[in-house]
This record gives sequence, structure tokens and C-alpha cells, in this order.
Amino acid sequence: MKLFSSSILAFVFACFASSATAAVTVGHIENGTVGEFLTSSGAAVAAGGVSIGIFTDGGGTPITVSDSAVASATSFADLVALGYKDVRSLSGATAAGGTDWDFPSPVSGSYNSIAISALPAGTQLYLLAFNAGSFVSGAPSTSFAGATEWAVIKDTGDHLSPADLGTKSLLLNTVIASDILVGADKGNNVTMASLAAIPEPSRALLGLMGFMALLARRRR
Amino acid sequence: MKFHLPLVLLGAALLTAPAVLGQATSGVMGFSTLNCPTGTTLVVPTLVNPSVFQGQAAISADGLTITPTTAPGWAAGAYNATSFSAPTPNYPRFYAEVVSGTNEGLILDILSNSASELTMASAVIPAGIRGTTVQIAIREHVTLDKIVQGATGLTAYADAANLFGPTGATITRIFDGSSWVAGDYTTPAGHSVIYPGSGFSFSAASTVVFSFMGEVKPTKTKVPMYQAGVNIVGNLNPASALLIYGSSFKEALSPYADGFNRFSADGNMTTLGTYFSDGAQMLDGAYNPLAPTATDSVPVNRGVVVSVSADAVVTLNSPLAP
Repeated sequence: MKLFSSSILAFVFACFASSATAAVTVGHIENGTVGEFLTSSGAAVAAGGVSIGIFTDGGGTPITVSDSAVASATSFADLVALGYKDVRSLSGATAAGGTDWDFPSPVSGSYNSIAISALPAGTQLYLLAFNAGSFVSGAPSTSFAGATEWAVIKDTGDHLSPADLGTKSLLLNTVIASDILVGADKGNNVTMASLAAIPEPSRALLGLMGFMALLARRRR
Repeated sequence: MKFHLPLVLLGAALLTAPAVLGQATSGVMGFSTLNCPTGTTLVVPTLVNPSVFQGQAAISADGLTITPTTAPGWAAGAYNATSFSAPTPNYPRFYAEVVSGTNEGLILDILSNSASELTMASAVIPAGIRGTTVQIAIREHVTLDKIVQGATGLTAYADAANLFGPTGATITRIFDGSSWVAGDYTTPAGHSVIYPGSGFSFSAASTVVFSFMGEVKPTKTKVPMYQAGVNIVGNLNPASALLIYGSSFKEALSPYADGFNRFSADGNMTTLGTYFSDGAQMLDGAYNPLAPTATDSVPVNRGVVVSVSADAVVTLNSPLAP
């Protein structure tokens, strides 16, 4: 009987304890103090924008994706296919007034009210930057269309989602070279790298050999 | 939601007896209520227990003992921490607080005392204070049992408090009808401590009204905020909310990296605002400076949830000496 009563009490408490909205905030700012994304040539980024997100399975549970799989993506759609979800797509995400994650700078702002169930504490956040397009709410796979450069940051030491009710501000000055999956560390800044598919060396070599053979035949 | 905030000054006379005499002084006593609707509310009590001692005291070089310069004549063990057998948790019952100088507001937990000396729960920090003589006050900690005194609307085994430790651990306390028990519904835990300027999240099955009574803190308060923890921080002013613009959070938060969220008081914990600092001024959720006219505030007896990238301390001013 006592066990039964305790079970009821535990159930009542569990039901009640979940009644509050549990939510977190994710923010990002770029400036000369905390660092900025730059193009591969070190110039200010004129277009495109920033995406902060996580990888999830079909049910929304965070998953681990290999760094090589992330780095070999050739479009935002490839990332989406791997399970990438921008925090703006997560339940409850609400932009603070004035939030703008699009280039040109200043890039700054936060999204709060993100359901903790969609972004559990300690989840690895990825910080991405593209040099064209923007995030497309509702059709994420079409986001950042036309981008030819990008950067991917996976800061395992600092860029983790906050505990319930908390705030996480993702900055570039916490990033070290080993956190950069795509791009390069330039002090507080991070430069982008090419997003376009790189021809395989064997294919390029075959082409060169064919060209040489053609030249030789013409001489004969 | 209606805010009940009668601040009744029960004893307006701040006695001016020299503290070096090693006696307690009575300060401004206050009374403040907090209405918690069904759902979850952040609770940060704004009043503290009256001091039981004030005087000059020397901190030992190892930071483990504090000795008043004038023999205080304490009853040995009067300030001892609890010493329950497992699984009942133990907490410090009293704390010594530095009440003047650069370390004003520092809270130091007392492990035990003899007639003439305090033994601290751990070596006091910052280390620079060791080997110095400071003015201290000793107060009894506010506990969950103290908080429910005079409260109405509490529901046994349904109302609960979540306290958060420095390591991020959530410590659940459940109201059992007269006191509090741990998450196992049996272990006594009404003596769980709520540190000055810190708070807890409270879940109410139906409307609860807390009635806080105690002393209006006459000195600054240093509130530690932990990188791994959920830091519920609020002002120790029972009379008015803390304006975020110009608040001491601007110095306490690491520029751009640290921030805090402010929530609705309707029980739903809807995020009302996010705030950062650039080191010199407070910023809004878009990292834009708050205008001097911004009315964003930390409500009375409630708090905000602060996230820090490294352990930090915010120093809150006394409402009596802003």
C-alpha cells in the first residue's frame, strides 16, 4: 500500500514538474573584439550568413556525425541530409529583437525559448558560415544557395548547449585550430575555405594524360 | 500577475553601537511577499536572518579559521554545521560575512566554533584575504524551512523546489506538508540552504504565496556564479526590482560570452529577455546596448538564470546603501 501511495505521489510530482516551459538561449556575435568570419582571402564577408545547429536523427535526438562527413559536404542540403538542424528550426526558437545572423557584419543576436527537449544540455553545437544566401526557414535544404565558401566550427570545449533556462553565446575567440573542421584559424578570426567540390586527383591526372596523348598524336 | 509587495519596516533603528564590541546589532527588518502561480517560478529571497555577531576578526594565514580580535564569548558549537547521519544531507547553519572593505559581501560558511574561534567549512577565498583582519557579521542561513514559514497554498508532495549546485547537479526538494524532503520523498531536507542573492526554481501545484520576513541586508552581497551550474541570481532588495541597465552584472559577466535570461512570472517560465555585457554596459539579446530608459528588470524576490563561461562573482549593492 505504501509503495502504491509513493508511486502515485511520484506520478503526480512528475506530471507537475514538467508543466513549466523549459527553454534555453543560443547567441552569436562577431566584432573586432571577439572575432569574425572572413573570406578565404581574409576580406570581410559581404553576403551569406551564419548557421548554428546540431545533428539529430529522424526523431530529433542529437546524434554524432563524423567530422569527415561534415567537412565533405558541398552544400547546406548535404548537411541537412546528414541530420543538421539550425537552431532556428528547433521548437520554440524565438529571435530577440534586432537579431541578425546575415553578412555583412555586424552579425549579432540570439534565439531564446528553444525547448530544452529539442536542445538537451551539453549537445555539441556547430557554428557555420557561408558566403552567399541565407537560412531559409521552412525549407532549410535550400539555405545558403550559391555559397562557394564556408567555414565549420566544432568547438568541443565551449560550444555546448546550455543547461535548462541557460544561455550560450558562441564566440570565435574561444576557437582553436583543432576546432575548425573547415576553414582556418586567424587569431580571433576564422577564414572560410572553398565549398565547391574539388576534382579528384585521379580524374585530373587522366585528363592531363589524355591531353598529352592528343598533343603527341598531332605531332606525328 | 499581481505583485504583493508591502515592505514593512519593523525596526527602523540601525543601532550605532561600535561593532568592535563584538555584539549583534539589529538592523532594518522587512516583510515581503511573493505570489507564485501554478507552474514554475524562480524564487530569490530578498531578506536575510539578523546578524548574531559583528566585529573585527583575523583570518588565519591558511584561511581555515577566523578569530575575533575581542573575545566574543560564544557558546562552543553554537554555529556548528548540521551533522546528520547519512542519507540526510548536511549543510552549514551559519555564515560569516565580510561587511566592509574590498571583500565586502563575501560569504564564508562556518563549519564549527569554539568560544573564541570559527572554523570554516573550507579555506576562505580569495586567498588574498587570508592573514588579514576584517569586519565580519555572522548570520544564520536562510533555509527552505524558513522560507515556508507563513506561506499559504502549499500542497504536500506536489510542490517542489529545485536547487542547483556548483557542479550543475539538480537537487530536488519536495514539500511534505510541514517541511521538505529529498527527491526520495523520505529523507529530511528542510535545512537545505539558500545563499544570499541565490535562489531556486519552485514548482507549485496551485497558487502559493510566500511571506518573507527578515533583515534588509545592509551591506553588499557577493553572489558566486558557476560555469557548470544553473545560477539563479536575484537582488536583495525587498522594495524594488533591479534595473538591468547599469546593474553590476555589466562588470560581472565576461564580455559577450556570459549572459542571462529573464522569465515570465505567470508560472510558464516564458523567456522575456536575454542579456549580455560588453564589459562596460549591458546588452540586449541582439547584443545591442540597453538604453538608459530600458525598464527591463529583475523582479523582486525573483531571479534570472545566469550562464557564465568561467566561474564568476556578481556583487549586488544593499538597498540601504545603493
